[in-house]
Amino acid sequence: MVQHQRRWRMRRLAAVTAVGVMAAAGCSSIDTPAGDDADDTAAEGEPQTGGTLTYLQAGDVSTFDPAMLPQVNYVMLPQLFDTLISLDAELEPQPELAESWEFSDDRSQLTLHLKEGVVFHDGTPFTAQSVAFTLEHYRDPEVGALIRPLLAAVSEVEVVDDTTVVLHFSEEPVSVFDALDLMFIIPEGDRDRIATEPIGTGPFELESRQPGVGLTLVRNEDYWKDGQPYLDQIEVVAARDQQAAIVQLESDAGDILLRPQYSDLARLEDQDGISTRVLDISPNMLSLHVNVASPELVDANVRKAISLAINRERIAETVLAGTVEPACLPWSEGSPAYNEKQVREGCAYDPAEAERLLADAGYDGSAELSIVVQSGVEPAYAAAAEIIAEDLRQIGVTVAIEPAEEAEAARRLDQRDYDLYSKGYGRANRDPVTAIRSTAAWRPDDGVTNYASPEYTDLVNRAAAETDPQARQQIFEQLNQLILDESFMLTITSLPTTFAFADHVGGLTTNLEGMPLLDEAWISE
Amino acid sequence: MSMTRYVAGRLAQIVLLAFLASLLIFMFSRALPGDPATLYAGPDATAETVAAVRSSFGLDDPIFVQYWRWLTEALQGNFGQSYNSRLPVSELVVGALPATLQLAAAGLLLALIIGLPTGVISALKPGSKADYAITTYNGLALSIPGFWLAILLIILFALVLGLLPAGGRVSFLDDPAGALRAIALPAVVLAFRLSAVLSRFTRTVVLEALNDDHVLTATAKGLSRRAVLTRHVFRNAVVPLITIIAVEVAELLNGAVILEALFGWPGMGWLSVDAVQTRDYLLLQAMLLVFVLVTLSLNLLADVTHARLDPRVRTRRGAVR
Repeated sequence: MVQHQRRWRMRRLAAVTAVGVMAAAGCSSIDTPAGDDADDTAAEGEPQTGGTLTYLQAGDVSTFDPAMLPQVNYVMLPQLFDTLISLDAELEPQPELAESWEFSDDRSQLTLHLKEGVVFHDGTPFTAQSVAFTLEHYRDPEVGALIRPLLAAVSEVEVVDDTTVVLHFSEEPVSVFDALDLMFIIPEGDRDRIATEPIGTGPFELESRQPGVGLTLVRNEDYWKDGQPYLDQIEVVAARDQQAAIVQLESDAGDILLRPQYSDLARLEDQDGISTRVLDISPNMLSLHVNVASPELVDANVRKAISLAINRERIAETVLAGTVEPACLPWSEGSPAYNEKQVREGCAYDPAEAERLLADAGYDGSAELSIVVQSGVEPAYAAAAEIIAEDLRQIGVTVAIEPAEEAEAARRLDQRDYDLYSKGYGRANRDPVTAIRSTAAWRPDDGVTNYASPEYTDLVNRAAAETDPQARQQIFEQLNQLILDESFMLTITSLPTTFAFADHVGGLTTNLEGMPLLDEAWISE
Repeated sequence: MSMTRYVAGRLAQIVLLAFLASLLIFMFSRALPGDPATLYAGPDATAETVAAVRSSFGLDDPIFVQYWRWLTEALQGNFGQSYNSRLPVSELVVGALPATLQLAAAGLLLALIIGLPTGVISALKPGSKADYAITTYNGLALSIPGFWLAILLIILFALVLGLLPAGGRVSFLDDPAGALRAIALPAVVLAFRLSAVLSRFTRTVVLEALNDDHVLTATAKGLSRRAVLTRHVFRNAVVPLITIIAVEVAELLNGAVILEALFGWPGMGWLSVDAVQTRDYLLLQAMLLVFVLVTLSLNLLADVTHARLDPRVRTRRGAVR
């Protein structure tokens, strides 16, 4: 895992020419999911087979259970496992382990035709039984699968034969493809071993693991996509934190780093031999969560005032290093509910109007509101909180930033023990109903902001049941308006996925969730 | 009192203390705000999911039931599983131990090589230029924060010069040269402070021994300087030195938390921080127990060695200084 330092110096020379090309290209954006012709990474030319890629990240992989989706596991999930389908940038399902599929006329059934001849890493064949077993695992509440709410519509899983599975639905399956896009297939077997012994159909297999240090993945020679993967091996190195990971990348002890901090992008781009990329569409959004049960924040006008007082532009410029535009709708640009006009009108920065609203609402500025920030995970949360705190002080709202370490921050969120909370949420680039139902921030019932209303629930249900795109657009417009009016979640900007990599790395893509796909990655030596 | 009775008594004491410690450790872990189920299930999990996960972790049972289960299984060598990785706790701890042992040994060795001779020289030539230089070095080494020095060295040797790795541990069996290069910086930072501690202590202890009556007598009897030093001064100086070394080693074995974090050194310090942050109760409890046992055992070792070398301790008349 420790590279020869000599190469660093040689590579500096070789990279000078490459840097010239890169400098011309600049820090451009690339499209996300596989299936797109998006080989925009540094290395030029044809993919070369062979070599070891050293992948750096802050923190170690936790459990191997693919039902859990913490960000530290992103590196290994699509490498070890496959899904039945994958969603492209237009949210259209593309075949993976499922070759084709069709809905019944009333959309109460989805028949999936599975690929034949695929085997798991332990040699057992991939069949419809594997899919049924996987679904059962994901639907077990004790497993804690993130996508479980998205599978709520599934009433029955029917194995017709080895290559055919039928999903029966009890309601309109609005989120089924979002769920299948994130459902990594595991073989039938002992459920107690899933967490520690990963067996999938993916392009790489687990060779070894050292807890706290990292893992080694090796090529799956029997991978069902011919000619892939190109890499012989992937070394995942778990650095202590972001800064340690960056130091390793800069000292040539690693090839690629996912999600370097926005504040480090410019510096990394300036380095010889290292390039950075910022992806277009992000699943993650930065938002100020507002606890509507907090006595000072019960009045929607007060919350609206807070929204108007936040200088989103400034946050986008300074915290996100100008990589994004301000946002105030929950959805990223690719989402069906994204509405240019409503963004323009709703994302206003108007402190004067904010003060007027507060005065009208009779806001008593004596109480100090807390802004909770989880420290150590994403510096953007804390930096944004600082700016927001200052913005709010300008209009007479007293705030105090309260950093909390991971477990305490989780507790405060879970117990709704906060006034304001600076945090991100995910799946903003998927179907809006998926985003709403699978995030604690937006859930119509028992949402983490304590906001609930019959109108909100009704609109979400209607959006879920409606299949006509035009009609859905209208429902979303109403939903957006409600969200802007009620101001219980103040979206600030998106949090784009970034990565930094050595110039000899090529062929990197990501899926819709921002997970790195290394089946087409290669290294030029 | 004979040695065996002394040791037996102390061992019994350790067992009792370990039991008490296990109770305190258990209570302490559970008293931390937040819980592992919420963390594991993630921020978007529904209350139902978190409850189900909590139940699967066995955290629904009454607290005393949980304690009893943990204690009885621990006595059989089963310390449970990490909530996050589901790996056996004993496996995780045993996995982290070699890294810490290695770092502790390297740091201690380096510290002894630097600290002991400089302490002796300082004591034998008080007020000399050498003494002055050594005292200055010690002062610096004790006041410069370890993490600051670590960062400085990483920048210098890893980024600027490219001579040493910025972090991580390499196994000696895989790559001896690489292993030495990987351990160099963290060992140096550890040894920096420890060498100063040892140096100062050695200086004090040797000076005191030099001024002892029996040394004066020996010199007056006509014994050569060298014989006086080796047979009387150093022998007496060694005794308290063993104690301080044992105490410092206990600290080293518990893992230099900040240094391990900075250097990405996967030892006990790093593992315990991780355990606390993720509220991995079973892992945390096992680690705290290990710390307690290590500290108690090393203290026992120090006392036994002390008693062995200094008969006055055994007869309980105490050392006359």
